[in-house]
Amino acid sequence: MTDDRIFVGRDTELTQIENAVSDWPTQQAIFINAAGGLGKTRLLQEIYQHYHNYQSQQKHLLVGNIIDFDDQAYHIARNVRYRIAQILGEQAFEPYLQKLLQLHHLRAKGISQRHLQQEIELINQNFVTCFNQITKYNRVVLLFDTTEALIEPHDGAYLSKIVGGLNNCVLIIAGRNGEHIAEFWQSQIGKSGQLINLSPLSTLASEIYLQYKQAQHHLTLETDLTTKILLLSQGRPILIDLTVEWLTRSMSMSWLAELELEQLQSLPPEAMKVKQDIFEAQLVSHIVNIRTPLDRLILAMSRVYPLDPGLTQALLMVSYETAVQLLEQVLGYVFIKQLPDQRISLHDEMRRMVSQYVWPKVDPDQQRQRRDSRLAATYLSQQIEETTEKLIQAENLTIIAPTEQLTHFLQKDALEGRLWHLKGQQLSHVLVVALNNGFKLFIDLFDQALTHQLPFRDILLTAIRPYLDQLTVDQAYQVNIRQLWYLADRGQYGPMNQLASHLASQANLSLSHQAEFLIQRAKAEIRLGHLLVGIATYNEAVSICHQHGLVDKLLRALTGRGWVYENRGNYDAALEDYLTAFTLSVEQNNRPQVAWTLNNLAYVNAMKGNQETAFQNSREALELWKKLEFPKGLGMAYKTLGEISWRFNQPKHAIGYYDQALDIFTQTDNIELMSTVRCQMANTLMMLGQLDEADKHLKWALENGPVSLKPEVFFWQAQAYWKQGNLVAARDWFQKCRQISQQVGELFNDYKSFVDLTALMWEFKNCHQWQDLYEAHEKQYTNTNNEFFLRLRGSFYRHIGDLAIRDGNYEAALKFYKLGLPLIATYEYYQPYIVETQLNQTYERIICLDKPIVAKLGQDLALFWKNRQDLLAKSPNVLAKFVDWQYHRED
Amino acid sequence: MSNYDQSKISFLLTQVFTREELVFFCYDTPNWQIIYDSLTPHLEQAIMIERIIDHAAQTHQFPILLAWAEKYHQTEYHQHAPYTHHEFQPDKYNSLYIDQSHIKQKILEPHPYHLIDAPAGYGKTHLLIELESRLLNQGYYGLFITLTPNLTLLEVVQWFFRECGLIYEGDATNIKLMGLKLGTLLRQYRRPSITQRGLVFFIDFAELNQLHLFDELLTEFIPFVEKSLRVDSFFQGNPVSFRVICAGRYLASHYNSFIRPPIQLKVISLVPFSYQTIFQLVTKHLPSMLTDDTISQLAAHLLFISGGHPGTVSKLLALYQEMGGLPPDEFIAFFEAEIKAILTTIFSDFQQSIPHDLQTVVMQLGIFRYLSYNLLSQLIEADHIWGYDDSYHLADSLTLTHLFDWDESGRLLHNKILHSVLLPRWQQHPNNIELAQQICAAKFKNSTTHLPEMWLIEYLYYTLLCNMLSITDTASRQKLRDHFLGYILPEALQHLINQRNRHEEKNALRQALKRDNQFRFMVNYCLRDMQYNNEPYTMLIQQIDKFFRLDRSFIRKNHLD
Repeated sequence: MTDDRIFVGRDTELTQIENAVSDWPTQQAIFINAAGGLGKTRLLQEIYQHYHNYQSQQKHLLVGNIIDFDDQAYHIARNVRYRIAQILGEQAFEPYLQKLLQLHHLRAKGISQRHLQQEIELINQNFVTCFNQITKYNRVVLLFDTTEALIEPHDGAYLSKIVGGLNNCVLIIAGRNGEHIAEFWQSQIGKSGQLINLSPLSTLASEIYLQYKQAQHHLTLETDLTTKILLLSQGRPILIDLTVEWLTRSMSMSWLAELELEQLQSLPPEAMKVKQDIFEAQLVSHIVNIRTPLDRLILAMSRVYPLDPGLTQALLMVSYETAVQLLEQVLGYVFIKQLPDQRISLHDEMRRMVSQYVWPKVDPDQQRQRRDSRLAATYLSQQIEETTEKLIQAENLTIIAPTEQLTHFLQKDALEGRLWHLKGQQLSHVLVVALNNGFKLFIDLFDQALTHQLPFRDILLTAIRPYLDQLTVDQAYQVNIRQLWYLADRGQYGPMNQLASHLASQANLSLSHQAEFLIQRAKAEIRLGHLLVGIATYNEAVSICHQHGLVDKLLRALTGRGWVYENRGNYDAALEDYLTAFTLSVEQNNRPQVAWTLNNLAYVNAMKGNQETAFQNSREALELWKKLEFPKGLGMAYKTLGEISWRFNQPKHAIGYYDQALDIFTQTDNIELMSTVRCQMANTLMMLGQLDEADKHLKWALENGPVSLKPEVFFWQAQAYWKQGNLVAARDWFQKCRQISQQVGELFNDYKSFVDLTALMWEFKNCHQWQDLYEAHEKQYTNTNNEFFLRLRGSFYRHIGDLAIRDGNYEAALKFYKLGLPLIATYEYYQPYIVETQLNQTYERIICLDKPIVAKLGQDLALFWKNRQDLLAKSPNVLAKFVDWQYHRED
Repeated sequence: MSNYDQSKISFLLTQVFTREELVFFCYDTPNWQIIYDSLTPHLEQAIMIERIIDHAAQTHQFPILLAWAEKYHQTEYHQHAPYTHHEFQPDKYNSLYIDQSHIKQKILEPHPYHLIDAPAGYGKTHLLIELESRLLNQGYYGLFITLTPNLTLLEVVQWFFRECGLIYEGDATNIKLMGLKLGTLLRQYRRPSITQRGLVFFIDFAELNQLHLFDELLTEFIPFVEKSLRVDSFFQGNPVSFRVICAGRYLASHYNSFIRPPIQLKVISLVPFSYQTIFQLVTKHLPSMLTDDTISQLAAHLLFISGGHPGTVSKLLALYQEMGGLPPDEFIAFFEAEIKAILTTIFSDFQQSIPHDLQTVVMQLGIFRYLSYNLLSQLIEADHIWGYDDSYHLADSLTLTHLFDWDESGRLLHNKILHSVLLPRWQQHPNNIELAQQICAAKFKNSTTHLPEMWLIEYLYYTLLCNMLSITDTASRQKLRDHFLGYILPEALQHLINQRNRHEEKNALRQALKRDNQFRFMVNYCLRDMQYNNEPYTMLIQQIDKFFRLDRSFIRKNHLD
């Protein structure tokens, strides 16, 4: 856009922004909300220009050019971050970029999706750290435009993830959905922002603007005509721009000339709206005649964008030189925008008007649109080939100097990003041309977009979503199931659950599809910690599969349900499910599934104490994997054997098995599993008292494993120190575990560490800290109510009760015991932590108290337990314990 | 022939008036009894309105009908006004039919730069001369230049200086500077003259290959004259104080290729003459003692032979005058050779004047009155069109020329100029007409075709043309009429309603026929008895009505509803 364009009527907004920019060192978020054509982009341009000029005088203010979400490349968060890095200087972001490079290497080593996501979270925080390093000494202004191009309802979340944690900066975010994003900002991330509802230009401002435009175009309009234009454009600069533009091009505006001004001025609002719609239509109606290359270009660009000379050449069937000239010449028009990569696009309001008023007229049968898409798809196909070729060349470069590695990686990353962007564009056009072909392409591309290309799956899903209703039932199913997989891979279990529930309840669904959606829903429920609901959903799936002979799905449903039962300590039910799954796998001759199921059976039998059966199952799995020659399966079988051995107090055997598992995972370079096995080895070595050896394994896992495994490692390290009696080190490592867990969003390890820290307070004799711990707990850990957390909560309250009673606060202690013990009794299944075991520990702690206190406690708790029939039925022994306390029988 | 917009009037009566009101009108109004008597209680309102319209047309009573409509529903009447056809489409009008109100409205509106664009022989120069006369009468200081072959830009600019009696002393290689200087000198030495009303340049691009000169004038000279003049307060405040009116052949398509034109020319295209125009021309230029029938007959012959090409009409009229005003039929028969010679010369001029890159397409597509993407694709695939392999690209190239326009449906490209001009040529090449006829037949018989009624009309049109070539006398024409109305038409209608909603097709066909004056003319001319009149067309409409009435009875009788 040219710099000599007038800018009127936004003094209030500019003042508001000026105040925000001056408010060092806060983060200020300003959301500019307005309908199309009111001048959001122009405002951003003005802000950029003003502070860019200011920047050259004031060294501590940095402003970046507008990041426009109309460019789909910015729908990938990494690209936005990289753009910000480019704006502020890549050197300052080198740690972040290096982490990206490391992540790239890690991906190649088969890290699981869950850990990958956590890894990415950490790297993104690294970005924030680098940014905040810059803003220690500089204030940064970042400008974002066309936020409505982001897909609701994730638009607010997307933005906040990228910029939410940035310090000392002003974020100016403009879009038609500005209000929605502002609300999200306020409600979801708890920060206040300023909402500017950009209103149409005032009458005076519009008049000034129109006068200026006339002067610019050497045009003099009659007073009546200007009044009509002002009335109809209703303060929308884009309409004033277009009107003047077309009048100077002698476009026939006879409709405008023939309109009676008095009549227009006296119209009621509804009738005026009708006239305004007609006015808009008139502004683009000349394009219907397709008289000029500009008409052709606008038509093409309204559907295929952004354009570069090659694509223009393909669409308009002109020479490359002509295409270059055309694009250069249109740049001066107000309705054309140029992206940072020099490609051009229509102003989105112009695009809307052309789509609404012109296309239905020039293309009633939509054949032209198909043809344009066909040409675009062909061109994009060539571009994809060329980019793929370049990427292969880049990847084949094996000798790269260490100092060049980052640059090389970034170039490759950019190429890959461009490649996927082209694929996404290609898909959207192939879908227009031939839906079936588009569907097939979608499946191909989606399945190609592997772990590190996950964000591109979102682009592909977005492209096909509008066509869901037109697909066949099977095709729609294929798309929906992939949507669910994608949500699972991104850890978005809430949306996954919602979608799966909706899909499972659709009418006219085939039973097979219904069963699959139920299985996915169950998975989501489990991930969200709603185990009972998950079981119920699996039950439904199992029932359908049983009744209708859907063997493959039955297998998966049974395995899934078995896992839930196993986690809830319902080992008999788990066994039943696994056995049925095993039988089915054998009947199906699905040998890998047989092997996996044997593994599961081994584990459950171990939990039930069936030692021989557990070992037998595990060995059978091992033999089968050997025949199948599947290293991962083999490694997992050895790992399970190790766990079983550990469980049955055979640590030396356990170590042997872990060693074998480690060998296999080392050969396959599976860092994640290597790290997990080392953690388990460390645990086992601790049992053997070989603490130094244990330490080495933990250190290895710490140094080499994915960052997302660190919570696990830190936890085991803390446990190791605790076992060594080094309480201070244990406490430090628990705190580190909490920190790292919070960074990667690993709530479970965070909570676990917190509970163990509470337990440690007893060892440090810091009983008086119970109040602080309680408050911290209530603030941070009471939002999540899944079973895993409820178990920990029960333990926490029990520990707090111990501390409180020791601190002399009987009433508080009683309250905590009444809160905690039922939770433990209901949800805890693991032997070392069941309610009876925990009560034993409590008794050991309180035995030093005065006998009347212990007796009273026993009495009160006995009464409490007696009055809870559910608890009494579950754990009658607990009542006996309390009575023993009451009468000091435990002594 | 009525100049009233019958479809608009029909729409007004349909939308606004009740059945009762219409019945009362027929009852109360003198000379409408015949219509009142023909009304039956169960007669559909649409048919009633049709009869009213037809009666008004035949008896020239539209003014009475419209006065009544205005009296009883004034608001709605004005909302739907106007109700007259202009012979000229917006931005298009004939050079020889000079209507002061149109000139004032179109060329003299507040826009400074115009381009009159038309093929050879349309009277552009004549129009330019007329405009010069009018603007000079208004007080403009005018300069008229006809650009002869091989003129350079420098020579043109030097001519302007000479014509103004001004001397340029400066760098003769810098045209922009010369333009600025011209403006300055005019302000200095000719201010009283140029500020009386303004200054106007008339530039006649008489020859075809002057695109380079056209570009140079638009980019190097005219804008700089304007810039220099706008320094003066008289020129600053008045947008039409400095005007340029150009005329040329096929300049519009070249001008349209500018993405950012250096000056904004308003393009005005000229269209062929209609029957009414020729009728009025004949009336104007021939002795007043000629009867209306003679004038009518002559006008019909002139239109058919010339296709409405103004230059041809002019020459034929001159020949007729020269021959002393024979009976029209005899004039055509006895002077066939002379007429052919005129046509050959004019067509040769016309063909040579078509730009090289358009020649092939024009000659291949000119036969069709309407084109669609689908038709273009067919022609491309059948190798009838060379140089294009995409129908959309081809269509865009056609609209660029201003010779083709998209109609309101967005499905048909209307060939308003070329078809008429090339019509005489097609008559010499019956194979092309047959090909067009076959293509149109295939289209309307295909149940998936959009707007089949349009293609039906085209089929009938080309059928008439084909058959006309073998017509030698009145008897054979009468045979043709009987065969056309009795066999060809019903058979075509049967195909039309096959697998379609006959009610919808009937209405669509009626609407399409009402809009198509050229088809009406062709029917009246090809199927006339001896004298050219509206009778054949009336019979055609009656046959169509009869077909649909019989068809409905058949369907009812056989419980096919």
